[in-house]
Amino acid sequence: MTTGTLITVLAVLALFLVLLAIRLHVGLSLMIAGLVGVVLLRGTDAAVSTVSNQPFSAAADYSLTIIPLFILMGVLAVQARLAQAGFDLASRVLRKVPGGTALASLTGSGLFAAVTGSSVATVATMARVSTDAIVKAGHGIKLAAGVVCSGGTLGVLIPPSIVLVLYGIVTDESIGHLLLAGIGPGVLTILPYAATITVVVTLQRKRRPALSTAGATVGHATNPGSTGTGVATTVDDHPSTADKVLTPAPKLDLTGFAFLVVIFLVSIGTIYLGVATPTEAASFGALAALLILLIRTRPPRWASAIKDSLGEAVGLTAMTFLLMAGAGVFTYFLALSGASTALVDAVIGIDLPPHLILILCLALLLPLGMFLDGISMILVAAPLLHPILVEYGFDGIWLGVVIVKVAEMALITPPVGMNAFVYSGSVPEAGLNRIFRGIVPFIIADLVVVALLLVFPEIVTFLPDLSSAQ
Amino acid sequence: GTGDDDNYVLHYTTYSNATSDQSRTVQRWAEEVEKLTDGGVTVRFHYSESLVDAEEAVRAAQDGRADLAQVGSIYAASDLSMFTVIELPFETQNPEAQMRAITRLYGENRTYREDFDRQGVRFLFPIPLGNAVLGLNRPANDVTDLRGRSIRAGGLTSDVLLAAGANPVAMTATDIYESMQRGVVDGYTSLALANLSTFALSTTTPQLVDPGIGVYSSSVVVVNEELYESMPQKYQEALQTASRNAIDNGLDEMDAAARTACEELTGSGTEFGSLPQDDVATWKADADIADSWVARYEQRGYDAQSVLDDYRRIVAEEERRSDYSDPLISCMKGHQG
Amino acid sequence: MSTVRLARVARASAVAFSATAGLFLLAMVLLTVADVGSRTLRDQSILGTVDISTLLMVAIAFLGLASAEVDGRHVAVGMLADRLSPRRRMALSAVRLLLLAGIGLLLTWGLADVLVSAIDRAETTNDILRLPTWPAKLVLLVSFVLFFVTTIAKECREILGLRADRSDDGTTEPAGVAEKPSAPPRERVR
Ligand code: NA
Ligand code: NA
Repeated sequence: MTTGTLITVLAVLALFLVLLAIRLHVGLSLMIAGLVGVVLLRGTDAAVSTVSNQPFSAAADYSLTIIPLFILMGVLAVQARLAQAGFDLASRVLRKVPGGTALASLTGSGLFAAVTGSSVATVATMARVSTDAIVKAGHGIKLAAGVVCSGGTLGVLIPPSIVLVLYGIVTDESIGHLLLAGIGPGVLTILPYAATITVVVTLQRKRRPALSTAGATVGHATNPGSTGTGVATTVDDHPSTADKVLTPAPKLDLTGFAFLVVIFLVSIGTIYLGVATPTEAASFGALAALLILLIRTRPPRWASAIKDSLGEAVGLTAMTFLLMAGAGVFTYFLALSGASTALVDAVIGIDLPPHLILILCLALLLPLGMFLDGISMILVAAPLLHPILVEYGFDGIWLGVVIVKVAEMALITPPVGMNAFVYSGSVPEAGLNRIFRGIVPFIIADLVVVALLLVFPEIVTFLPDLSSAQ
Repeated sequence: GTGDDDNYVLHYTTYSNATSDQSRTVQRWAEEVEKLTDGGVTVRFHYSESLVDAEEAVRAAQDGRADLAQVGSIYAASDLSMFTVIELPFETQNPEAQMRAITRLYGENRTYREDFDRQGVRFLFPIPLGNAVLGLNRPANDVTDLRGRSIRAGGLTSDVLLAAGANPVAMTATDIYESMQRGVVDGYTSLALANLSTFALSTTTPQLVDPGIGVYSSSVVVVNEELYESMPQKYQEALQTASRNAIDNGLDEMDAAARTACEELTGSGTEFGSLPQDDVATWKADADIADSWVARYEQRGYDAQSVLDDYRRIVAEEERRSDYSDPLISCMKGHQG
Repeated sequence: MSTVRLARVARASAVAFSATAGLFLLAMVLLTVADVGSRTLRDQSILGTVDISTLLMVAIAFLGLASAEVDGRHVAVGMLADRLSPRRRMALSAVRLLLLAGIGLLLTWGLADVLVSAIDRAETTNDILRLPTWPAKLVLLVSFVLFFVTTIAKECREILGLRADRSDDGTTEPAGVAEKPSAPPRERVR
């Protein structure tokens, strides 16, 4: 790469950041920055052709059909109130446990994220309702912020996961294996998060013993300042009132929870059993979710429920593909400039131990989380980092899961993280400082998880290995 | 192109990965060109569709997104339609004859040549793929044994399978391994021996059958015509010289990759077989692919019959001249006695 | 046509496009399930499932662009721009407007060119059915045109809203535009 090219690359990166800063759509920012770069390196004709052909080539690929199908599956499951059912079940089971409300909120966020596959969307949806419940239980807004922001990151590794699918697409790793590989670490993360909640709640009790008598009980109000309006939405049929020490436990929606398991099994089981490819399995998952929605809604509401779900799925799909088209232009520019290969050569030239390189690459992701959501981050970073690390002998599937896990962490790490910002948008009274302070214990939990994945790669690889061995 | 004065950096776009026999062939071509031009022409490689998609390769070489492109015949139906004549099944078992025909048609058949001219690209050299193999989970002794089986295929081979009553399934080559393991498909084709290691199929295929289809596909490397015309005479000659050597290099590299695959297949206990010759003849007549190919393109205003006639004539001439034997045939011989 | 009328037509089209994409998505689900079912139960694939799904995918991917814009689904980074004074926000809005118009015109021209070329060359998919690609490319063109019309209209409304705000001289509340995933952090620490 010549000095001239290097300057062009840096200028285009700077332009991209400026475009982001003036609040242009991320996809269009990538597209315009890449366009300018191609003009500089190769002239207008090539630039215009790149931009004009990108939308078609970004979408005309059969393996991409899995993206709208997973999105649809998630939206339908939410419409059918399946995440809600899981949340209710958790609230009921955890009623007597210290920090039960927080644990139930964590479960709710985790389940919602698991079916929608988007951590940012989960935070936007769950922030208000979970916060009100947790604050009412007397655990304070800091813990609420921590639970909601980190809970959103839980579901991204658990299938369905658009981020993992995209990772497979941009790096050519097996999508089926990536989806199976995410399950272990996704489930594993729940334990340290739950432990964190327990520790925080125990410390709270020690500091404020008054809480220990009633504070751990769902629905008990100790903060009259909070509005409480959201609680009615969380546990829809059972609005908790600030006057009662104990709200009636939510009615158990066991079928709802069972249906959630059914969707998970249909979408993953068809891959595992060899009836269908991952792409085809997503269609089965979506159809199962549709049927469940029909079972759980009354016929007059069918039309509107289906219409709403399809509309939302189509909108989210368009959002994703605009990002992909923009990323396509930007990636073409990077490939043309030789920046990616130069970076790979430079990194390999430094001659550091592989694990140090890995950790440096992962650390690079953290600042990205201030501008970008998980999908954008993977589209921009995976094509750069994956080849470097594979060159060092790391397993591609394992890398995919670790990189996606850290990309999700980047959404909650201070000083800037999309999840924290979205939370602060929904719960303005929290304030960014308090939000980040609430998140810190969960970041420690995440670091423990990442360390475990580095030391015991089997946590990631055992399921895909098991399925190959069939 | 990024030529200033006498220095040209050509961006090459390919769907092959860096270590495949096809990329090796182009790397050798680039080394030769660089040597012949004293470093005046260098090639920057963009592997695995990292620059543009395989479907877009011709147009990218035309509109300046790339300078050099590998164009696979299965992606050429719209842009280099006449080139797809070389995909016709049951025409020849000799990849060298196919390579020579691809090259000679460019000079000897106007209809064939005009496709390249219209796209603003110049043909440089072909890259061989070899004869189609048929990998199966269960044995097949004749064509009727294929009836009802789901087999991964692409291009004109899909039509051939349909004629046998099989069920062609389109899927990317990287999905075959998993789909075979899990029984999503019962077999695969539209691949040659030299490809099998790349897709982890050389150690996981229980039955390897020579279906008698012969060569089924190929690719060509093209350069942007304007860029080529802008080059000094000396550079143009260098490109042409290296291109003339590329066929032999390509067959070399393909043989090496196929030998590895053959050894791996043998080592993993694969059973080899082939379909009876009479059977294959009936199959060819039933499928009638060549006639429908001509009909399809004559409908679009091509003199496709002349291209097919010239292709058959040149293949016959080149088969007589060549003593090359496809690695699939050699590998089979080693196992059937 | 008056701007109000134009805006109404654009909004109605966005809804219609989104509904079409939804139907395509359902069709894709049913087609794939039918294909796998047929393959598993009677060893017979539905010929061309991959061909058809690939072209449906192009339509599904972009038909919803405009309605996603109406619903504020597209990802943007609001944290910096939204802290500025209304005056500066107006300046940024104007810059965005110019950029959107520029890239919008370029893409409209480029996508039209790609469409014409696909028709001229009788371009088809490369799989077994050899379907013509021009319908998908036409869908791309109209989807992007509608998307840019919607985005530019929204930007104009924001500028007008900010101007009204400024003449009221007051609140720093943005003019009703809140991108959901990038909702600005409005610090109100108590
Ligand atoms: Na998920
Ligand atoms: Na961060």
